[in-house]
Amino acid sequence: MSEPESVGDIEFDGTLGEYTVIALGNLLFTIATLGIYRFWGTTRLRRYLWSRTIFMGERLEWSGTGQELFKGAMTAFVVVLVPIAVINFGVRELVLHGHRIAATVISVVEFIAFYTLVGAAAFRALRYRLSRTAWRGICGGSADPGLRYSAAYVWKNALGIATGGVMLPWAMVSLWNQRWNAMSFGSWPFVAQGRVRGLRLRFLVCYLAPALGFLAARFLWRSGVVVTYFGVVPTTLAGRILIMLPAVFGFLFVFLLICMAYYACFFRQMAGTTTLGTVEFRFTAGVMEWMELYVGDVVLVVATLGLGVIFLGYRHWRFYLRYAQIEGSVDFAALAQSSIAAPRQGEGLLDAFDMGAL
Amino acid sequence: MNEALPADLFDGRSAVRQHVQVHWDAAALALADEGGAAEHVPWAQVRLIDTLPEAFLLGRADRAGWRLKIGRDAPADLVARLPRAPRYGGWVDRVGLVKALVVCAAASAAVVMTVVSAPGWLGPLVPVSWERWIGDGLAGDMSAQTCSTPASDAALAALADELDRGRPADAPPVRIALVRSGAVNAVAIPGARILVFDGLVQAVGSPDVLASGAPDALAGVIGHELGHVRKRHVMQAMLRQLGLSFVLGGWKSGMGNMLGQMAAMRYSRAAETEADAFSRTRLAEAGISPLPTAGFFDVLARNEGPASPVLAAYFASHPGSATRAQAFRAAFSPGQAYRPALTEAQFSAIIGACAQTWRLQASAPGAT
Repeated sequence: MSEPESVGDIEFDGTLGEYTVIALGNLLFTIATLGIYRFWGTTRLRRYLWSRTIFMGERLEWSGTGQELFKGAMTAFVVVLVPIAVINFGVRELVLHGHRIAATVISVVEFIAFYTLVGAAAFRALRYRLSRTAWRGICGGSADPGLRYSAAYVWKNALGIATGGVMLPWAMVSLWNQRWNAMSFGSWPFVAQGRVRGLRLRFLVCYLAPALGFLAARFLWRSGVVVTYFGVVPTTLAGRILIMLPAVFGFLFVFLLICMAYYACFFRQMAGTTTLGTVEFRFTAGVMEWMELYVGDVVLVVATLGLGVIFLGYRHWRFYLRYAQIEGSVDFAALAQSSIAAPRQGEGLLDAFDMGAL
Repeated sequence: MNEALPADLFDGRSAVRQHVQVHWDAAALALADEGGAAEHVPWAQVRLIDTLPEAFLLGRADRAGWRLKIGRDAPADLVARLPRAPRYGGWVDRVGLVKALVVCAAASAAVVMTVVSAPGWLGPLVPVSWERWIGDGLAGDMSAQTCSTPASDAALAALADELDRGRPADAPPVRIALVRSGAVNAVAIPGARILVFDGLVQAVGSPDVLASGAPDALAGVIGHELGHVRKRHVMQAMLRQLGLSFVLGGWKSGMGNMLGQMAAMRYSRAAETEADAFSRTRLAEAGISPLPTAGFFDVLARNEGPASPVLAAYFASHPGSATRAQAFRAAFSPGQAYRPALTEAQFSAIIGACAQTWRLQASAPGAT
């Protein structure tokens, strides 16, 4: 029997230069093919990022293909977008002919069905990404098609919204647990035991911020400080809006900061309570690090007139690696290939949405 | 078989790294582990998964997860036997990057050109009844926004009839409606329908805008919209937009939209010029003077300001008003006897229609 080896840091030996060469090639091909190449481009970028990420002496491997992303997107177009267009047309015809109740019922059913699909897409994107991620010849995945998760996604979020947001942190935590508890890597299942404790108050602050901000703005306006500061009294609507602009941007920034503080806390807490076999995870980024990431994104994209978009994948991957920590030890002999069938090509239709984050 | 090369093997069953000795010949790779057990892998089954900074990563076509890492310093004889890894994928690697780029760009340009130009001949082939069905679906019931009195309806119908004399026998008559809106505009919508905004009627009728010939200018504008209807421009534009949104849908950014707009606008300007020519022909046939229409475009041109830069012209949907005014003025023939497009009573019915509809609705019993 082999001895368990303790886990070291995650290393990354890729360079922005190499990434840029791939990204610019993708951009050229994407333009030349009217956008169709982007599925293959995404795959090339992921292969690069994964293969330059080293954990316990071995590199990750991305085994997904552009073709399966493309097929998935085509299937989603036919199976999801076309029916939605047909239903919308039907609803309009019903309204035109005076069947308002029938139209409303169909619209509500359609909305719920669409929301269910979004839940399924989030689940299956995670499953797809894990199934295409290999390390030491072992890959991840899930045997669960995600049907129960999709239903839970609808009712838990609905409950969160119906209670005026009070239950939203609970919905987010319980969905995280449900999603990750269905996943595995090799023979090891992920175990997620996230708790809501500590999140509710932060969410409440985030929730009350707009109201407080509005009251503060009203108070400032009434007090005349703003007008005195600028030295002019706005007479037109445009003038009033212009004078309020700094306050609006300032408020949006602070609001983003507060919401990000909640999200940073949520992510830290969830990662910290998720385990895989004998390893545990930590995520150490706080609100300032998250803000730096997103403000940096915006500055990068704006300053390069949009071209900077191609570097966002690199920035985000580096961000997650920088603040992710893995602790524990691994007995390589105990980590076996999973019994789940090997990844099928172009597996489901909803892989196409390819949303949600790893 | 030659001398042994040390390598790392993951067998795809567990995460254990095994140290193996690799031998090779023309037919296969042979791996021997520390216990001496051997594994033969025919070259046909070997795949190059990736070329890593320090190693060639090999896989087996028949065994998921099986990975063999051979150092980049492996003997040249072995490296030469390794299969090639896909770089851009599929046929792009076979024909080369630059050639593939050119081929793709040419194919894409051909597709866009087809999508933009095909509606020109495809549009007129769509049965008018289909267009009508689509149009009624899109515009729906507009009675809440339209102004209608018996006299104004009759006047508009008479004008349409006069201008639309040459319509094909199987084509349904055009339907003109007045819309309660201040915009100085008129539009042709699918289903042989023309919407004239009240703002346009008021502008044309205002003595500040035109000293005389207001009904003739209105006839010129309606003649233009009638041109869009009879030349099937509306159906063509719909098909073009549909095709472009489909073809350029692969873009995530607004870039595709902008290119599509530019491509569509060029055709839009061609259609506007054609509709103007149609209007001038019909005005001449009906014996209506084109000069008031020219005068109306002059006023629009003054409001547009100085001539726009060349680049802006690429984004404009209509030709410049000054150019259009000139074309209408040139169509005037001094020898011809012109008559007013509408009688004074007819025109005042149209110009007062919206105010009167409003009054009628307000005083109608049970009106809300």
